[in-house]
This record gives sequence, structure tokens and C-alpha cells, in this order.
Amino acid sequence: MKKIITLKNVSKVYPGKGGKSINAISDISFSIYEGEVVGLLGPNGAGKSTIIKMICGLTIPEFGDIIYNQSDRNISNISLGVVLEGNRNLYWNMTVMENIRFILALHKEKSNKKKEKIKYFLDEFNLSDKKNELVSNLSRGMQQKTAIMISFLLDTDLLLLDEPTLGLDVQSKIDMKDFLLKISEEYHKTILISSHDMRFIDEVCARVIILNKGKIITDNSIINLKEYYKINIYEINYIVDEKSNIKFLEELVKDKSIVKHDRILNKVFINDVSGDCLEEIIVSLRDNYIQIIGVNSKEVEMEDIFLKLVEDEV
Amino acid sequence: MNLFINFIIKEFILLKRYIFNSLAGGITLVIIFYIIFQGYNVAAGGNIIGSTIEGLIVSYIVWISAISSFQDVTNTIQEEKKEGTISQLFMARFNLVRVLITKIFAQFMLNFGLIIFMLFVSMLITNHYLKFNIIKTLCIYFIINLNYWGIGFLFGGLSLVYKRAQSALQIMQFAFMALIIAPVNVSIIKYLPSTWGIELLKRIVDNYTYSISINDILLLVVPSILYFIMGIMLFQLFKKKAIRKGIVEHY
Repeated sequence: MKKIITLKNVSKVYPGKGGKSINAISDISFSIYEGEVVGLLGPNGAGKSTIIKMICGLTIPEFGDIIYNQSDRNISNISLGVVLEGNRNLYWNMTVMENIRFILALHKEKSNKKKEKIKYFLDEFNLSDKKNELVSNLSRGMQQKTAIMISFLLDTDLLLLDEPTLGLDVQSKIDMKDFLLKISEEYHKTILISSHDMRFIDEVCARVIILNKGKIITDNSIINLKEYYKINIYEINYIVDEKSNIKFLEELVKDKSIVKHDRILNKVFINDVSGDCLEEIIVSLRDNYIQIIGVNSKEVEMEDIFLKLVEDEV
Repeated sequence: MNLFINFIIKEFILLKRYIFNSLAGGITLVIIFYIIFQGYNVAAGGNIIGSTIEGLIVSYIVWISAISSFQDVTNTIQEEKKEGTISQLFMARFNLVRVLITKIFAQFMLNFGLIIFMLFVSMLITNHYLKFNIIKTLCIYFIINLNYWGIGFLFGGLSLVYKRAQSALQIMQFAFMALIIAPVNVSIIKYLPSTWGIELLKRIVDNYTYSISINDILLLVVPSILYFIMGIMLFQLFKKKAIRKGIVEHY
């Protein structure tokens, strides 16, 4: 597979207050291949945005190389579509169409030569009826969609999305997820998404690079990570009556048979590492007149993997 | 050329969209000129003479032009930083300086309409009609603007790195006024930005038959180009510094 971009031993130091310097990124290396959808995951301050900014030339690394299209160190020889964090991608006092024309011109593209394509993508992104609206009148989700659509029109080698879900409501987040899944499948785009939204990355990306304090703590496919960090967590829902021995549940928490007890929703979580303790607990709950109404297995989530990785790192 | 046309379209759209702001700006300029003219008139005991009026009109027109040309660079940087779209200009397929030069030339074309309007209005107010060679005047006027664009690039670069550079921008309005009224018979002054160009403009407006010598052209063109290039070079330095510090989009 063709490498679209490679970061080789890249470090970035920002000047801090009082002459102290801040290590934003320390000696990181990775490549992104054509057609991949990669997530950059990490908490605030992990260095995700710095990586995006370095790739698109808004800042430069102190050490290391960023190699575009396998052998070229010149950023102007790669076409990048960038949707930065927040509302910084569009001119708010212009309409969607005016933004399209102007941003295409900044990228040496003529909008009248792309009339068909613009029409197609406006329809595809459900923005046709908004094309003459001022960007300031659009919802945050619509603004993000417009910015991504313009990146699409640029026929870029790599699409960089920095925190695309930031500030979106739940429904817009779901729309954004569906939308990115659709475009990555249909157009086979190479996309790098930075986010601290672990569930979003889990749902959209095939590969994840997890960062913590400017360092890569893992770079792997999500399937591999889930297999590696597989856990046998079960959620047991119960109801109690006057005969139930509630104290028994507290005893299970104390002896760590139960990893979490939600007293409000009447749920307990158990980690069945050996594969036989689930049955034992179910029997003992019944013996204590605690009625079980449901048992569900819980799949490992990116959050669990992230916490485990950070714990291992420490 | 496509980018140039798109900048003209963009600026024209915004001019139209904020028509009341645009009109208010124009009316303010007319009122300021009227007040200055009346002030001169009172000072001259109601007997303001021809060459003074010509000097006044030229100085005022150049002052407006100086401020708008200077601000074309600095305001673009400031506004784009404020709106958060500066990164779009940095990530354009064109070099940032080329984008900004295209923008200022597009803005120059639009400002030119305002300048012609102001010239006409100031002649109406003073009831004194200037007779000048349009080609010569336009060439000198354009070259004078190179100085202001150069200074604009310097301050634009400063505002990329230093947040407080904006406060210095207001002071520049007075600095331009000083340049416009500076006496060019003091040898060093004619090498300062735009001073010789303004003197030439005053001369050709005052005397229709004034013939421009090679020496005049050299004194006009060489420092103007130097100031323009120096401004761009310093802008590039500040741009590099802003990129290195990772503060391009900080506002």
C-alpha cells in the first residue's frame, strides 16, 4: 500500500511561561497508508492537534521529518484537506456557495470547472437547500459538514479532521459518524481524525494511534486492540424484595467478586476472568433471594483500552 | 487571475452585505475633509489660495489611500485571525505572500472607486477643480501605495507574532500624516516612505505642464520598491517565527 504520509522521530517543543519549554510531542513515528481511516486518540494536551498542525504546515517540528507521498519533504507537493478544531474553517459572513468558490480559488481550483461536482456533493452532503445560507446561520453540525465537503471538492490525498465532534449535540455526533463512515467506504478516502471522543473513534476508524503526554502509547488496529484487551465483563440486572439479602451484594463488592455496583439502577458488574465465576454468582444471588432479570456481556470499549494502556505506561 | 477575481468578488459581496457600514465610512471621510477644509479657510481668513487647496486635496486623498493600503494587509491578518480563518490562507496552494498581494491588489481596485469619489467630492467642497494628467497621476499613485503596502506587510508580520501589535496600528495613521506633510527639501526626508511621490503628485496637480525628470522617477521608484520588498522580507521572517512557535491561529 502507498504511504501517504510518514512522521519520523518527530518532536515538538513549545516555549512556555518563565522560559520553560513544553514538550508537546516526543519522538513519534508513524505512517498513514492510502485508503486508511486512522484515529488519533488521547486526552486534552496529548499532542493530537499539534500533530495535525505539523502535518498541514501550521507549525514545524523541532526534530524529525514529515515525509509526504513517500519521498517528498515539501508540503506543497501533497494536497491536504484540513478541517481544524472549532469553527475556524469557513467564512461566516459568506454563504455556503461563496465559501466553496473562494476556498477553491485559494487552492488553485476554478469553481465553474467543478459545477457538476459541486452540485453532486451538495446533494450528497444534504446541503443543496443550504447553499445560499450564510454560514453563520447554519448549525454547528452543518458547518462541519460544509467544511468537510469543501475538503472533498479539493480532491485531496489526505483529509485531516481535528476534533470533528467538538461542540456537536448527540444527534449531530451520530450524523457525523454515519456521514464519515459513508464517505470513507464510498470514496476510499485517506482520513486522519484526531479526537478525545473514544467511542467516536471506535465507531469510525479501523486503526487507532493512542497518545498520552506527547508520546504514542499504542498504534494498532481497533480489532487487534479489542482482542488483546478482551475482558469478560458481565452486567447483571436484578430486583429485590423484603426477603432479599442486600448485605450479600456488599460482601461481594468487598471481596472484589463484583467490580462495580450501581445501587440506583440495580446493576452489578462482574469480571469473569476464569469463565466459571458468573455461574457461581448467579446461583449465590438466587440463594440470597435476589431476583435476576437480565445478564448482558459487556464488550471492551476504547475507554477501557485507553485506561489500561495508561495504567501499563505508569 | 482566478484568485484575484475571487478576492474582488469576495470584497464586493462584503461591501454590499454591509452597505450601511460602507456608506457610513464614506460619509465620515467626507465630513472629515469638510472640517479640515473649513479649518484651513478660517485660518486663512476666508481667503484660502489655489495651491493650498490643491495641496490639501492631494494630501487628504493620499492619507486616505495610505491608511486603506496599509490596513489591507494588517486588517486582513487581524480579521482572519479573529475569525479563525487565517489557517485557510496559510494552507492555500499559493504562497501566503502571493495570496496577500493578490488580495491587496484586488482591494486596491475597489478602493480606487472610493478614492475617485473622494477626489470628486473634495473638489466639489472646495469648489476648486484639479487639472492633471491621469496616466502620470495613476502611475505615481500606484507607486506611492507600494510604500504603504510594504509597511503594512511589516505590521502584518508583527501582528502574526505579537498580539498587542494592533495598538501600534492606530498610531500609524498619525505617522502617515507626518509623512504626507514632511518637507522634502530636507534631503533625508525624500527617502522616507512615499514622501517624494507625494511631492511629485502635488507638483503635477499644481502645474499641469510639470515634466518629470529621470531623477524624479528614480527617487520615486527605487525607495518605494525597496520599502515594499523589505516589508515582505520582514513579513516572511515573522511568518516563520509564528509557524515555529505554533501561534499562527492564536488570537
